[in-house]
Amino acid sequence: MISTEEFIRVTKNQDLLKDFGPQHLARLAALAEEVKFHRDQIIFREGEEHGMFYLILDGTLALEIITARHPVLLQTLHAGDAMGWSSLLGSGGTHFEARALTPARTLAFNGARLREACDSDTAFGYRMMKALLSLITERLDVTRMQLLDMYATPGAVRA
Amino acid sequence: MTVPVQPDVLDPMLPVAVRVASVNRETYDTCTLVTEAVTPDGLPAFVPGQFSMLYRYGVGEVPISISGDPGLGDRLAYTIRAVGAVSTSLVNRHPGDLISMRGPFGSSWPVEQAKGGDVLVVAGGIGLAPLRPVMYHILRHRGDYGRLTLLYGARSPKELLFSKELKNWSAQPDTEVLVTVDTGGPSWRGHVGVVTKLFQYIQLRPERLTAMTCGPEIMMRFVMRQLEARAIPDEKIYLSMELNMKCAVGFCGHCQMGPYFLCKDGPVFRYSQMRPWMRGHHEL
Amino acid sequence: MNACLPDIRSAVRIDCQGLGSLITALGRRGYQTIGPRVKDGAICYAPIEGIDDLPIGWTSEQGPASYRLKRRTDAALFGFANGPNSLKDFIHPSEIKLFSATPDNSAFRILPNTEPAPRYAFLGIRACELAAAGLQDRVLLGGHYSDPVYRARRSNAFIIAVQCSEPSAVCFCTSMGTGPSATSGFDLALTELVGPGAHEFVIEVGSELGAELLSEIEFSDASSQLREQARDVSLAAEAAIQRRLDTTGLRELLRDNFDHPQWDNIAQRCLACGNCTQVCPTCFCVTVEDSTDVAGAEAERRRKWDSCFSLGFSYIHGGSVRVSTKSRYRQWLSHKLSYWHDQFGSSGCVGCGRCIAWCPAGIDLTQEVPAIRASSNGS
Repeated sequence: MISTEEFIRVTKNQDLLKDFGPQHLARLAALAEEVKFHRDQIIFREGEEHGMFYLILDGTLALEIITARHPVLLQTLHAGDAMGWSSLLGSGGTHFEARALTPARTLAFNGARLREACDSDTAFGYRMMKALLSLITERLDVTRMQLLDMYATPGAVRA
Repeated sequence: MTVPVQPDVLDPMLPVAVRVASVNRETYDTCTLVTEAVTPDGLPAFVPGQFSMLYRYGVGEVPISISGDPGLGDRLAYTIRAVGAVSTSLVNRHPGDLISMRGPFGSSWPVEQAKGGDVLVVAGGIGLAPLRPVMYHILRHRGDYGRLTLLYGARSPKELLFSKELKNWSAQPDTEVLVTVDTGGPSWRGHVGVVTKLFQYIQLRPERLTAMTCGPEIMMRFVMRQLEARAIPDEKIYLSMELNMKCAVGFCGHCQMGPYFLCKDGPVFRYSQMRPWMRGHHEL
Repeated sequence: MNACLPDIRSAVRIDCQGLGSLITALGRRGYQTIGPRVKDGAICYAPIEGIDDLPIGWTSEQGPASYRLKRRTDAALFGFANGPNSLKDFIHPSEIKLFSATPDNSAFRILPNTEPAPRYAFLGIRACELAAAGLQDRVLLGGHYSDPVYRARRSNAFIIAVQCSEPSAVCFCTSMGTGPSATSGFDLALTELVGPGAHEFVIEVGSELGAELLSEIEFSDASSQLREQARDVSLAAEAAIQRRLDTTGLRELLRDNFDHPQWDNIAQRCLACGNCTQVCPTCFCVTVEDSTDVAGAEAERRRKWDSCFSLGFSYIHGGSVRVSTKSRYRQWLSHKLSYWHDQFGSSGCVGCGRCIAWCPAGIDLTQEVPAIRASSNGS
């Protein structure tokens, strides 16, 4: 856990937290732990019961999926992005692999404890869920656009 | 917008021969042809944003943006992607081959109007080609402009254009270059995601910004949303549109989008002009 | 031959023989006269050699999707309204070679088409057609570039206009401010006066060249009574026009009603056959085709009329931008009545009504526009 002032300071660029009041930020601060990753460190593997939620402070992380031949980089995440929200829903293993492409600094939250905090303080829980909904919507839009393969020549087969 | 140069020709439908001076293979389906004059008259000048109609004997003609440095007077460079018969034939040229051109035609990027302010360039895929002359121009007159930011998205790492220049540009003063791909490869360590996602990693000063963008129309629509969200006015946003072109001089009617002839009123437009025609309708 | 040239804007009198002599005089000066004649069941512009080739005693009855030749009770030479073709067919030809190219060592040589432009004298041109030619002038000559094919044919053209006496039921030139009287843009203008025992013409001079030609034939003064009769013909023609189009705010109306349900309504009837674009005297769209012979010994670039109704018109790699008939009809009408204002400073329609008569489905823009206006989205 880190002090509330410190938490507020390092998360000032986090879009996710922009509507959080000081009480709710304090709650989060109490659950936060600074976690660093070195270059190429695997944060979690596909299907792992990882249970952690991350706010990225610094560095580049990548979401990957392993195809028959090699890992395919699906999306990179940077300072200001969040990752691992499925841990809040408690819904089984991770869908993708996460790897640090560069040395990275994050704030990590235990998904189960974050879930408990939401259940016990429903105002906080509602704020958290709203923020996540907005984040996920944006991520979905961006992912859908990637699916469009908009630079491809019409009729071309994806190489 | 700056008044573009239009060569004074009696018959704008007659092509003129030019020689391929060099061929640079950019990716597996795209290459840059640098052309030079065949006669002592030299080549016509161009301003960033303009295009020429390139003709291959017996095959046909296509509109291709001029992608070279407007400061180098004796060369016209074209970055061509092989998508049809004519473009494929052009991509397979060798130094010394002759091709024909008509042009340059069309309106230009607002390199004059953008002076004294910041510039944001957002390019997707082959859309970087018509914007490269803007980069060359601004960097050649660096003191006339404020911050320069380039956001560039391509399909995959092996489809990135002008990699050497990208590196070069990012080393220039007060210049930021962010590159992203839709799918990464095994050795790619850069951004993966759509080009609009790069907006969250940059800081813009809306009150002094001119934005220029070119890419698939759907990409440009999403870029517009990002720019709107950052309070950039429609009159300071410019895009380059693409449609079927035949004559390139406003006679054949093919390139009309609403009241605009893309070949002579465009291809570069202010978003304030194009907005009603980019609503994402099924058909125009 | 008369000694002095008549003044521009003066009016004199000639008879049918005089008209015949005018055609002969034009021939002597190297013009091929193009005039109306009965051809393929309609009155069409074609080469004529003398007044006997004209549709003497013929008229047409026109309506939506309908054109019928009918016999008159008199022997008027010009007692009919427009047929399917116009000046456009001759000065903006439907097909022309732009250049050919032949291989030359490792390169090729471009050989422009240097055939001299034909010299046509047009007889029988109506006010609406003159207005249409003015619109095409703006498109093809008024920009940074001009079309050399059109420029040559247009400047070679000698025009003898005819003041309409017999508008058809599809005419609406009065709504578009283009007729029925021709006041400029001609070298000579005829008003035919045919009655019991008299068949004569009041002929106005519109240009110096017109005055020159006129001075090569017999003419006499036109009395003030005759000139008044001629004016009455135009007044009667104006009164006879039944069709109307309210053009108030038309540019904004079509621009602001892109999604109006009337477009779907029209699309159910429109066949996208493109007849309207073919007969319209202001439609100018062309396509450019590059081809080569089988042996590759010669390549050609040809220019041909094209229509925004064809599927391939808006083709770009990947497909057409306008696939549905609805979008193509909407494009045509919006261009004609709305975008043309932004592009060229006026309406693109001259009210000749050809598109109404020659549409096999009888689609009538003077009915469609009010339908849109009735439940418009705009302010």
